[in-house]
Amino acid sequence: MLLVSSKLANEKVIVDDSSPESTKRIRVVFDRGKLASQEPDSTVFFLGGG
Amino acid sequence: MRLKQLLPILTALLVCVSTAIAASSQTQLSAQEQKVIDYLVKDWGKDYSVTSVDIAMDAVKVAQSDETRFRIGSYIKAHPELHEVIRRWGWVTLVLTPDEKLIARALVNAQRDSKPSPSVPELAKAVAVSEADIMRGLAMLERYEILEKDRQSGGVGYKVLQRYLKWEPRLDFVFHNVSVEGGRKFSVN
Repeated sequence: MLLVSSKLANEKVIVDDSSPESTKRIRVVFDRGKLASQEPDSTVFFLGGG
Repeated sequence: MRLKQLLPILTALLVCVSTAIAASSQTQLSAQEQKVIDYLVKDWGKDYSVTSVDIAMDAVKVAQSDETRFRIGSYIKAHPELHEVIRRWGWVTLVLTPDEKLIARALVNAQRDSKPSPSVPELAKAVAVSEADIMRGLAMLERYEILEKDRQSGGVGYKVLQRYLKWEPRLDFVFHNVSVEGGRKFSVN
């Protein structure tokens, strides 16, 4: 996430991930540092940091 | 010490040396495979990179095959001195594909919860891949000695070796793959 908001802040970035507790796949798309889409819809996304 | 007493020790020593020679010869890489290793060693650590072999093979245009991936992965497993990333995060996360990691996690979760191993169709549904892909993934996990055949486990008939049931602080079966549009693909820790 640090990369998405700093070094890759001017890029479109896809992050393929998975739920840590199961085997569900998660895909999150960031466009110029902002969250553009997420699959599945139930994905919980926390914004934060100092 | 008498020769009779020394014999078992000498035999054991001989077996160890033979095994080491066999292991070493198995990990002789082709030029293409070495190209993948060179790419990874240069990539690892940059932007938190823990890039895996499959991604590197695409990056240097080496055709994907389980056999090639296993040869490169075995080399990484046998050579932690190549890079700090191997020593810090473990070789497993660097050599497995996301599908293989998810298959392993499904088995780890069942075993941790003292449930029978899932069947092939159940795994295919859980990981969202074909049953053929599950069979390939299981074979790869067995070759890496992460799983071993165990009829008592039920389902697919594999059990996860103890070391891999609790993988923290290694990354083993975790993946966070980053694709920059029109650019680099890599995995992060």
